[in-house]
Amino acid sequence: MAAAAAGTDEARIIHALNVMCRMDPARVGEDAARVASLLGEDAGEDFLETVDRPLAVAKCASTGKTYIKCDYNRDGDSHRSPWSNTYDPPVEAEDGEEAFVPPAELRKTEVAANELLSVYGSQYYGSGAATSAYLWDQDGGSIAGCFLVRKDIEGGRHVKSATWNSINVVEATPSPAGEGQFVYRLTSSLVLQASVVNDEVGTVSLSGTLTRKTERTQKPEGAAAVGPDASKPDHIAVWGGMIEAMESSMHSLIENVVVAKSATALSASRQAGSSGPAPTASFVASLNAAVVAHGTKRSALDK
Amino acid sequence: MAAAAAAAAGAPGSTDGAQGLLARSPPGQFDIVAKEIRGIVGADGFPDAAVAAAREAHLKSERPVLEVGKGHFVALCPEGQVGPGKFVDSKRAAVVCVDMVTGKPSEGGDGDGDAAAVLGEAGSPVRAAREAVVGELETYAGHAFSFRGTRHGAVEVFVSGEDLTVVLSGVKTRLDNFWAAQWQSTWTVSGAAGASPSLSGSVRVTTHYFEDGNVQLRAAKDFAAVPLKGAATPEKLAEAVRRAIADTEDAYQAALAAVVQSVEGETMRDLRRAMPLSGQPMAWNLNAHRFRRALPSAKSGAGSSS
Repeated sequence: MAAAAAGTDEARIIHALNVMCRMDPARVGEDAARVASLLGEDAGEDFLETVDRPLAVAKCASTGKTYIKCDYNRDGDSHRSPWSNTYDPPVEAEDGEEAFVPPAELRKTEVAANELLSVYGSQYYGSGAATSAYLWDQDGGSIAGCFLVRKDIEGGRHVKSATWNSINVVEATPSPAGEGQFVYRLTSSLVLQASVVNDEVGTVSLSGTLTRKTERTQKPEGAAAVGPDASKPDHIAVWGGMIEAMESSMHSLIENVVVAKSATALSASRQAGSSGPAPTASFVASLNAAVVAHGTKRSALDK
Repeated sequence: MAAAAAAAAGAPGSTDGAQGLLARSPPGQFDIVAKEIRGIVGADGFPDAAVAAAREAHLKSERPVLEVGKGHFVALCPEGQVGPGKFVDSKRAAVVCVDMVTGKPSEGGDGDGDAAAVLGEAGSPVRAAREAVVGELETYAGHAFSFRGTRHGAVEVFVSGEDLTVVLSGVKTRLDNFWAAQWQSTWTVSGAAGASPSLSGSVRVTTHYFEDGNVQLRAAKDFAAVPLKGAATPEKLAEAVRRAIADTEDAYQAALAAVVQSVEGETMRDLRRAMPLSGQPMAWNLNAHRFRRALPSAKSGAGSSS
């Protein structure tokens, strides 16, 4: 087996992601640690930031509300609650540098995003869904954020447990075309895990990750002409619509394509109905013997 | 959990992590994963000896199949391994040599003598039972592991004391269509040449779909021993074994298909509705939601546009 020496870190991380596309999504944490170990410290950390995993939830110490933990609200071992805007556990300033909290204006937008995402969660996911949105500024006047949803079900009629994790990373960048237009980008990842345990099927896990991207350029509501009187652009309305459409599309994709493909693969692994009246080896042997005997008899008669 | 993941990863610079990944590579993709791992650590970081060791671990759990002649497959399984890279083809009572680095059949000749250890002593009742069972199950495997007229699986039957070990493995890959699947079962015919034989075993199924993502189904079930009735002769035993395995595997496959259907329907609906409670797409407008919430009669109109 010929292979070249390991390439650049970027090339190595692409190989690492290719490996992860073939590992069992139900064991993503364990396998990602294995791959990160192969990459070494720096590239390993970069790689781990790109691997989608089931989202963890925590309870906000100040408000008692559930929030979602991810890399976007993490500082060391602490996470910022979107409800109270405080870190748990509190983060000590390091070298005079405080942990990130959004500037006041952006925080107002983040509060609104969380309120709307919570409504969205109850509309589509029902009770028990955890939602969180985190926003941050980027260079060049653009802002970015992530909108997260986690929903768990336990003890369903068919499944023992299942979890839906959607990770929507958004960005709004002023368009080079100007005129108050923005380029909106969305990368949505879905991490789905379902497990079944019963006497009939033993243990079954059906797990997966899917990622889709979309982009559009438009003038948001409230984005008046550039100038001192320009009103504040309503990015949430655009992002929200994009996320809603994308999640609906991925939901439909799983129902109509992914599960159907899994069913196709299952039926291809083994042809069902093999217990039917298929001829047995002994039957085939006796049939062959009868054919040979018949041929011999015919030959004798023909002579 | 973090500690367990760290332990699984292996020490920095070791090939333990790579071997752990390869051991559970999905159906028919061991060599693809090995190539990707070499893209991460280079050939020096994952030498041929490590690839061979990983393949050894992989076949112990996954029992892949190898086509050694047109339409003739051998299951590479620990039950039939008689030396490094040497596996018994129990249908032909011959040894197949495999290059454990490339995974392809290798030169080295068939050391048929090595096969005797797992085929039973010549003239013994258990060997006669094995020969009848392997013949019967070869017909079964030809039907079960056939997809659109092309075969993709094998059966092996070995002797272990007074018992027979049956290995059935079918690996179907359509990587150009982004999917692969494996059906793998191992069965023990206890007391195969005795008066009261019984059958127990386990089935493992893996499916993998990876177009713009990675979706896998992994299923496993053990089956407790059941008596094989009417097995007075090797031929009757073989028929009883085939019928019991086929019935069990058919029922299991149907149950798995029902699970997949339930995820498609009920579970997906329980996780996320296709349409919001309001029946209309969300209005992503905070003032509209706050206004509606303030209305005394507001119920589930949060999603309606205003």
